[in-house]
Amino acid sequence: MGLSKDFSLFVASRLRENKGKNFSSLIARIAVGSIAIGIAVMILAFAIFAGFKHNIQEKIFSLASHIQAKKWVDSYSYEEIPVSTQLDLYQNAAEIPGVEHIQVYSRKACILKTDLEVSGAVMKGVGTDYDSARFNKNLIAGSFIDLDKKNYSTEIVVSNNIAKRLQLSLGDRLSVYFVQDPPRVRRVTVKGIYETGIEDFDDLIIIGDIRLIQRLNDWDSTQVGGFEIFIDDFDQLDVVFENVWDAMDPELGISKVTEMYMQFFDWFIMLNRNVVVVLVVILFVAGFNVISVTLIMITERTNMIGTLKALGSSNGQIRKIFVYNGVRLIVKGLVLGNLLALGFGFLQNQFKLIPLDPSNYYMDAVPVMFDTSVILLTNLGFIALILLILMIPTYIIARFQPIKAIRFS
Amino acid sequence: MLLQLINVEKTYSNFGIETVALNDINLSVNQGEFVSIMGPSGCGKSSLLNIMGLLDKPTKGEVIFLGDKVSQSNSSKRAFLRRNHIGFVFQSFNLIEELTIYENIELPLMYLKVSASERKKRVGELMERLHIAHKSNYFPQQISGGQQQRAAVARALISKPNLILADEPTGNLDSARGQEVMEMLVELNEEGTSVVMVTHSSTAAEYSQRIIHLFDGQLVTENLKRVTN
Ligand SMILES: Nc1ncnc2c1ncn2[C@@H]1O[C@H](COP(=O)(O)OP(=O)(O)OP(=O)(O)O)[C@@H](O)[C@H]1O
Ligand SMILES: [Mg+2]
Repeated sequence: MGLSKDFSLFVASRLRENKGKNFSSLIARIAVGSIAIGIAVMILAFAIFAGFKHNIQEKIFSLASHIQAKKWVDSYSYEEIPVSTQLDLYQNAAEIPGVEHIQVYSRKACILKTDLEVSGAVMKGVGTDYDSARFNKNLIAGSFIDLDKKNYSTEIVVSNNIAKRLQLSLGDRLSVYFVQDPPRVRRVTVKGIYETGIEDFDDLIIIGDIRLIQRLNDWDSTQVGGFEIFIDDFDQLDVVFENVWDAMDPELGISKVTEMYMQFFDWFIMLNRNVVVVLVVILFVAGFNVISVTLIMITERTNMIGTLKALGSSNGQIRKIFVYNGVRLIVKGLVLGNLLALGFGFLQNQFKLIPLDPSNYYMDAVPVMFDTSVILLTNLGFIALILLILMIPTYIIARFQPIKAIRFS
Repeated sequence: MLLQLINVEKTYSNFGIETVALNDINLSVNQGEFVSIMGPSGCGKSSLLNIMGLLDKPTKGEVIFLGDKVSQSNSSKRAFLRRNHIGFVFQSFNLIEELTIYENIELPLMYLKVSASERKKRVGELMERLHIAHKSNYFPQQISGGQQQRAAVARALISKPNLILADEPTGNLDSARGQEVMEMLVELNEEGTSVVMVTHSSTAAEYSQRIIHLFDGQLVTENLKRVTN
């Protein structure tokens, strides 16, 4: 007979074996269920949130690098001031710890004009060092511009928004007016159409050859608007930023993508208030269920409590019986809930159970991205909170008079 | 002297209604005595037993247990005294239905922190003695009332208390089973344990040395039944 040494644990373990005949076992199942659903919803909420965040950030990185470097100017200037590709930063970027890739860019404001429509835009000129793999995920028609021509390319990639606005399709030709004094115009061809879903980009950006901008600005081939730097591990952004800061030429200024597009990176801004409310309600329901199941268990067993008191058990020992019982419910609920969340997440990622309309969202299915430490923290937080809540009802045991408990049996 | 009650009063108040259950009770129990408490229903017998067993505090007066004033001691002190010195036997047995007979009897030893092997030895011996050893692994609902009450007596005895308090221990038993339980209490008493028993049955009361009659919360008579040496 394997008897546990601890009295409270022992009695608690026997209470559980005798389940199935009391009202409390039904309530217990409800409590386990609500804890399971609670923890599953929380884990999934965080995972979906992380998934969205990750996806959105990936989109951003397709048009904005982790770190951007350009000429340091102390006042806002409409025209880009050129920096040289001869600079140390560009030449030796690979030696900076954490830096994966550096590429040149230049931006120029322009007006797109077809026979029927006009639209403002910003041309982002890129060069042969451009890592088009990241961007090409956004292509919905056509292909990227050809940068290997001897002369500058007159191909552009426009966003779907702009294409619609100007009624452009692949292969169409149009005029681009560059805003400068005096204004200049070029005929270009639509080579590709992209869509990121992020309005900041889709409303504005067209991609062209940097040599076109160099020509319009009267720059030579070493002069560019700035550099885009990608790093190996985005979580290390702050560290690598410092490394770049230390390595770069003094005439440059650098900024992080998290500052330039803060609205997409600030966790608290992104976390919708409604989500917080839902999570709090979930916690509240789970906590309430644990309280009620414990109260019911206690009132179902006044006789036992009275007897135990008569036999000399301390209030603490009796209270522990019910706490252990509650812990068992919590653990059961947590295990179930974690399995539920992980299972659902796996199925969702495999089979896209919940699809999304990519024209309204940035992706075609609800993304689920699990992070072990987030799951662990969620579980720990849940346990701590529910345990705390669980202590409340057990305090009434101290107020039970043993005789009353026995008398009213 | 084991236990002494001095000018004990007990008043219950529920929703503003006061019920005087005990009125100016003076009473003492010596080590080794067997006392019966009798009286009509509602006269305060259980209330008296609860106070003697340190389950309840008197409204007024003093309770002296093993030389200590305990009427106003806190609940953990009283739990400690109960655990170490007092055993209870109830009319409705009050065995814990989730535990086997063996485990029910073992329970008081578990919070006295008696070692597992010692527990096993003592529980086994006692069950042997009370003729319930063969029911060791049964649950309370699976055995007869007489056997349940013997198990309850065993549970009261296992910690070797100075005092056993029994509230109508034969009340739910037929006369033959009742007699068995009474004989067991007498046997224990003869080994030196004090017994205080509430009973309606004069047959049961015959086993004791002293009978206390209560009426309306007051102690009316005490008659000596039998004299021990
Ligand atoms: N918790 C309580 N609250 C209010 N009144 C109580 C309480 N317990 C007992 N009483 C009252 O105190 C009086 C004495 O009760 P007690 O139970 O001690 O009587 P008793 O002699 O044991 O009766 P019985 O033979 O029916 O068991 C009764 O009038 C009872 O109604
Ligand atoms: Mg009574």
